[in-house]
Amino acid sequence: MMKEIKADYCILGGGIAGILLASQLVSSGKKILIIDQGPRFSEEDRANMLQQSKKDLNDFADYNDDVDPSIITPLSSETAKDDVIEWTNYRLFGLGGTALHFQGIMMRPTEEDMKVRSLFGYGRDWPISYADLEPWLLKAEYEIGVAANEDNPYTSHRSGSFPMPGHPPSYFDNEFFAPGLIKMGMTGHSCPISVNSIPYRGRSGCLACRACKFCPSGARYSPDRVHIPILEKHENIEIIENLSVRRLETNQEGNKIVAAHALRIQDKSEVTILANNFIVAMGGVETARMLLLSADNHHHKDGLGNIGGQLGRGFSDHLSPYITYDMGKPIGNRLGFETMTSDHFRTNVDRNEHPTFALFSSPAMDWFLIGNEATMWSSKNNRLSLDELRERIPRMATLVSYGIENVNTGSMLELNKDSLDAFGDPVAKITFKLTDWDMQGYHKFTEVATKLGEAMGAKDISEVSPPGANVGYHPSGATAMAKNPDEGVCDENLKVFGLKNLHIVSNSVFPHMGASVPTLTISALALRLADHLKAI
Amino acid sequence: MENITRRRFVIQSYRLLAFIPLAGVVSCVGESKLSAEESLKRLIYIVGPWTLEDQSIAEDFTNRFLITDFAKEYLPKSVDLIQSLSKQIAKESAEVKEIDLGKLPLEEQDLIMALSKQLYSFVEVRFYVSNEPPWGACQGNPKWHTRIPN
Repeated sequence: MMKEIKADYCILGGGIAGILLASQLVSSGKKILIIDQGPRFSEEDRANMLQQSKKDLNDFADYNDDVDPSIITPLSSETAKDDVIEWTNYRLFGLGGTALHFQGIMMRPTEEDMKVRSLFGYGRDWPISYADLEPWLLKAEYEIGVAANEDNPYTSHRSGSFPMPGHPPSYFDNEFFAPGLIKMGMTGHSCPISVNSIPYRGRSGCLACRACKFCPSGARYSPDRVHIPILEKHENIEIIENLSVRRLETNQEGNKIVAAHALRIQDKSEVTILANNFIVAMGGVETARMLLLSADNHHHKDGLGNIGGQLGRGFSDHLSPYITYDMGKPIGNRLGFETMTSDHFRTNVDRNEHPTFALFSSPAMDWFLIGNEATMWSSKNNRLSLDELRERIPRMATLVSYGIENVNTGSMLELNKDSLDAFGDPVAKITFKLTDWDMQGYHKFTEVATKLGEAMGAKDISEVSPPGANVGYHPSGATAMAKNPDEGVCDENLKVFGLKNLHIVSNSVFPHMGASVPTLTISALALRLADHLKAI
Repeated sequence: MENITRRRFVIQSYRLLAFIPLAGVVSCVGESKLSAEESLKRLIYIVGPWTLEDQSIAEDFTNRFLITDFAKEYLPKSVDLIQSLSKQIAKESAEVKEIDLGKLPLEEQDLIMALSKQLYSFVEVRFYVSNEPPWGACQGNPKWHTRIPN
């Protein structure tokens, strides 16, 4: 039997955007429903995953491991120079979303990132300015808890300080990274990260266990540990897990959403949600897919908000190459995350020549296969020196860019009718077209990373990996905010064009992502949207 | 070697003997077969970094490795590989400071390299070699990463 639920606000997606949005709307007293197709993970689940990681040689356990991927994680792939890359490794379905296992880097966009079309002639301008967004970025830093020092000479204007000091630079940062940057005319500065450097709002400071994915101390922000418990204290909040929304239905005039149709994951029983306002907060891929799956035979034949044919267009993701060094001497302990970064190439570049990017360096990070380079370098004249190999390991470091800016002119997210999920709906098909300009970012990173290795005194320097495009961390741009429907899918207040009561918030609304890791900007947009919704 | 005070992974002389008495290996070769699992265990002991006093750590790691999918790549060839290595080691005394890949068939060379790349990419192995506490164990000191290496 079909169940019907009524609410004032129905938020589709219980990730960081949906949860932060609800945390601000709750004071309105109106009934708020949060729906996620993933489960709620408990502290026991985390402990079990930590144990499982130990069994699995420490590298591999993750939150969605035991779930049928065709149900919980519809496959989506891209095509880039004949490579097909599955978008499943870094997305996470569950209350808390990808922020359950994210690293926690909280970068701001720059002023220039938000008006690249006007200033440099590529990509899309945001319909709001950095000045419009800045107060919300600051508020998000306090809501989440960001640790950083105000020592970044490249950042755009800040109207306030960080809520807590940055983590002290590591031995490696002080002895290798910072001096190397100085030799190259750059500055290293504190890496803004949502890992408490000191106790913050009832949560512990970091205790340096390096299992950040599960964070036993609770020092790293996770929505299910911070904001969901607050929400659960309010009677006007209802959170439903394991419920998959399949389609949004419009009224006869086609100008308002009247219902969301969902299926329970366990038994596929139907649930209909009736609400005054619907907000889609389903991340960079699923948000656009939901609008496409909600196409009808009347007013929205090509999907919701697709008046100007912009739905799915401008899909973007970061390239994330890395390089490995043998520094020639031991580089010290690692904290599990970076303590220093450099935004030099986010501002001091000729953007007509190549895209922007940030540099993150660290004692070898958990997920990089440094044994590969160490073994190769220890093998000479057909002899593998085990002595040498073991001496190298404590000297290995990595440098990475988590996000090389790109525009991928012509990239597209659409439905793949040849590939269906467990409910019989098409999965997302992403065609990713890197331009020569996009690839210049990769080439520039290669050049800089090699020179920086030399400047740091590295004994050996690897090739950049992977040899070409590597994406999948930060899908964005497929439902862009814009001034009119010919340029995007939603307006500057994130209301979908042509629909009175449908808003969206996720990185899919970014007209341009720049080189910043997107989570802080997503969070700021969620807080800003809550303010807007409360005012109407 | 920069600093001898780090974990004694550099003391290679006893690695093989710690887990596989050489006479035993030779004897096994002579008598024909160890099982594929036993052979792979011994390969991991040889290539891996564990010292004599950390035998239980090595055994624990190896037992877990054997039940992962990673092991499937090596098990079919592990018997041949351990026999080839045993011959090489027998000629060169008990020390396994290096492996002469040139004395192995091409396929076995590739497997040894692959095993080495994989083993030393595991966080657990890297932390052991670098003398860092196990992953997931809180240090309780938020400044521990600023320390000068041992």
